[in-house]
Amino acid sequence: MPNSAYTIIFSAIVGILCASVLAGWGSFTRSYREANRKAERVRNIMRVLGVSYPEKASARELLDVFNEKLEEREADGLTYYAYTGAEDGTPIAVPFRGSGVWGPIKAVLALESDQRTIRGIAFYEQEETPGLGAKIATTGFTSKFKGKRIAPDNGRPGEAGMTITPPNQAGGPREVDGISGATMTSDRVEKMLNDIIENIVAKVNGNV
Amino acid sequence: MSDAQPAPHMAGGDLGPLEGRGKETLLEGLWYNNPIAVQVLGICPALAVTNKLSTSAVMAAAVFFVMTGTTTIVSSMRRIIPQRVRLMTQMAIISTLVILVDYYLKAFHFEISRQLGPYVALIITNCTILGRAEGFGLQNNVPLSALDGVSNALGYASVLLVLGATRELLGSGTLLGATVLHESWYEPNHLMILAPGAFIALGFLVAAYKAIKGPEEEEEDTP
Repeated sequence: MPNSAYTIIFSAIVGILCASVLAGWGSFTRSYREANRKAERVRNIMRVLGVSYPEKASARELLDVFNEKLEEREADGLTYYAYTGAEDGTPIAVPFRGSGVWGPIKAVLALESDQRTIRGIAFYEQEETPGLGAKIATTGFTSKFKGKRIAPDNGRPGEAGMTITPPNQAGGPREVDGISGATMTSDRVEKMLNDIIENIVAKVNGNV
Repeated sequence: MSDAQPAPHMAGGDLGPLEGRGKETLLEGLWYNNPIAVQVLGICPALAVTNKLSTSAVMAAAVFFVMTGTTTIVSSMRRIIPQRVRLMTQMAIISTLVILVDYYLKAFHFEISRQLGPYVALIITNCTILGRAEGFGLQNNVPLSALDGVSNALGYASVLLVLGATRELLGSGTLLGATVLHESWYEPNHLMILAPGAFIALGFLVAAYKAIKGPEEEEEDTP
């Protein structure tokens, strides 16, 4: 039937046209899209470490600063980033992840040169309840970690770890106030944090 | 498709490229037959991304591009599209336009694309767009179809913007990130930025729309 032939040819042409438009646009934007993805990760690491970078930096500029001032290292399968360009020793940043209440949480933990004192922390990707658990992404929560300790002095693996207490009860150097109304998120954050702390103490601290 | 019928009042007279139906077509999508307020179509993104004005605006712009592009392209091809593959053709056009927008945002407006998450790609499933292509673009000439796309996209956008502004204002006390209702005297109602708040806000919005529009005899054969 000539009618079927027309339908088939028509469909094929539409398919080819659409595919070529997409392939063209896709390859034109690919380098930008990939740079953005990498830059996003890099930006979080640098922000937590306190590396200064231009606020309006493009993805490429960010990656340049990153490559200049930081060094990717590996300890026994654990990837971390050393801030070799720092003026106060060599702080490190360790990306980690865990599961939250509604979805995965991605975070970065930065430690001072002693690798015991927290320099900063950021939960940069999370789907916690807006207004409650999602507050883990705010500086109101993350700033409470600054200066806290992940393990007792001379502590061994197993003794390390932190506690996220109910709101307004944190006192010790290894305690941080949880978020009011977000106990489940706080519990999960505590668990993922302690998993990575144990890892750091076992793998990175040994190689100081 | 209930929306393919010509509206009651035809302007008549000399027929330009818009066949004298320009104003009527524009008002249909924008007001009388608003995709969200009347047809309650495409409400998934309308609920999901309207917790902030900025994301609502970007979503509105993306839908505008896809909707106008689709009705225009489908209309220009209406005489050569074989009947049996017309839905496939329309879907191919919609998907292509949506992926163009998605890549554009990922490449050049990364921050906002991250906030919108999967909802840009999900414009493909926005039934309003396929509805306009199938219900209007296939039967009308190019300028009129383009206008229909603009009209429906603007109608859609206006609801998104109102919802986004309301929810951000009540839910976070801000507009476009700037504090409007200060926390010292306004306790942000977090319900408004959660999913239930979206349904409640949309319900009130549709009610307000119906109140303004006034009563009418319900004669639409809703599918």
